[in-house]
Amino acid sequence: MMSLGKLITLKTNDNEEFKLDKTVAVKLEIIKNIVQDVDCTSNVIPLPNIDGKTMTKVVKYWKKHSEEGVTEVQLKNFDQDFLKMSHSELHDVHLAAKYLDDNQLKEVIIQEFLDRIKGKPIEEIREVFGIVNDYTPEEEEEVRRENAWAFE
Amino acid sequence: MADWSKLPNDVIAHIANHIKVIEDFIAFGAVCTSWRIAATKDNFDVLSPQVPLLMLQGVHHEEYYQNIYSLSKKKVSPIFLPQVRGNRWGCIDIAVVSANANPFLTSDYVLMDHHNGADSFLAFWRPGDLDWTHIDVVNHAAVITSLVYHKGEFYSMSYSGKVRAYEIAGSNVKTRLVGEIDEFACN
Repeated sequence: MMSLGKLITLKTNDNEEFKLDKTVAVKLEIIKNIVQDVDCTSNVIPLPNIDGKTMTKVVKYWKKHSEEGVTEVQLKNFDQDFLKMSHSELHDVHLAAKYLDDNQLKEVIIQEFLDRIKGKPIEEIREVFGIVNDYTPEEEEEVRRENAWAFE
Repeated sequence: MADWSKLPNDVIAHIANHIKVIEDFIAFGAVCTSWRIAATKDNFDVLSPQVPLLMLQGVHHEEYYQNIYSLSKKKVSPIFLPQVRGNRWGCIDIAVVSANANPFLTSDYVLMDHHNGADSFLAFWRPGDLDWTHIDVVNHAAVITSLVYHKGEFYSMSYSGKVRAYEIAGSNVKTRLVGEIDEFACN
């Protein structure tokens, strides 16, 4: 059992280690389950799907959001600042939140993603997010014709 | 490699679910095929408030297309909707059927239109119809003052106080008199 000690170590796929207070870590379902179910001799939990760079961000978010006495306004300002990351970083944090089953973080990321595509023309969304247009010209023409009014 | 187009289907659907503005929802589906597949009409909250489209009168490509103006895109575009034939005097009122329908995402709706004037009539149109189907209201000896849709039926109210219900099933219209308000009692 991992009940010994107050710290839990999360180890990313590039061997970066994050020491977290257990009270912070077990708020997450997945960590709680690992802590309860897995018979570990060490307090190290491997995270094979997450790299150190992404985990740094996730941990920063967790720590701020579990700070004692933190106000709504402070959290709002923190989130605003936290979300100033590149599209690909946003994508990685989203996947990490999904893997870690952190719904709150996941929703924050999705909302930010939607804010970034809101009201933008399709070409710009593709360009900004590096998405390959896999429509055939005929298919695309049809999509545009169906809802011509909704496009620029 | 971070690629937003390679997200699992359920994640894309979940994201699409959060989109509130119909124009954004349509654009979302047009970005790439994987987003298109996930952004089905079931993922759109049809009850979220939208900026209305204005139908422009007088400028028609041809009689089967009407111009609509999008306030959000500041753009005029034609949509397929036949002109209602008949006297163009008087007021036109359009009610959209199916409380849970958005005409831009589904074809499961009916438009009802009423014309008042020398020839008063009600007419309905459904997606796929080449023309409006007229319902004769002259026989009801009344000019319609308002038209609403409620739970599967249209209701009309006439100047003489008659309330009628219309149920559209296939090409048939079942109509019944719901009630009558004494016109003098209203004054």
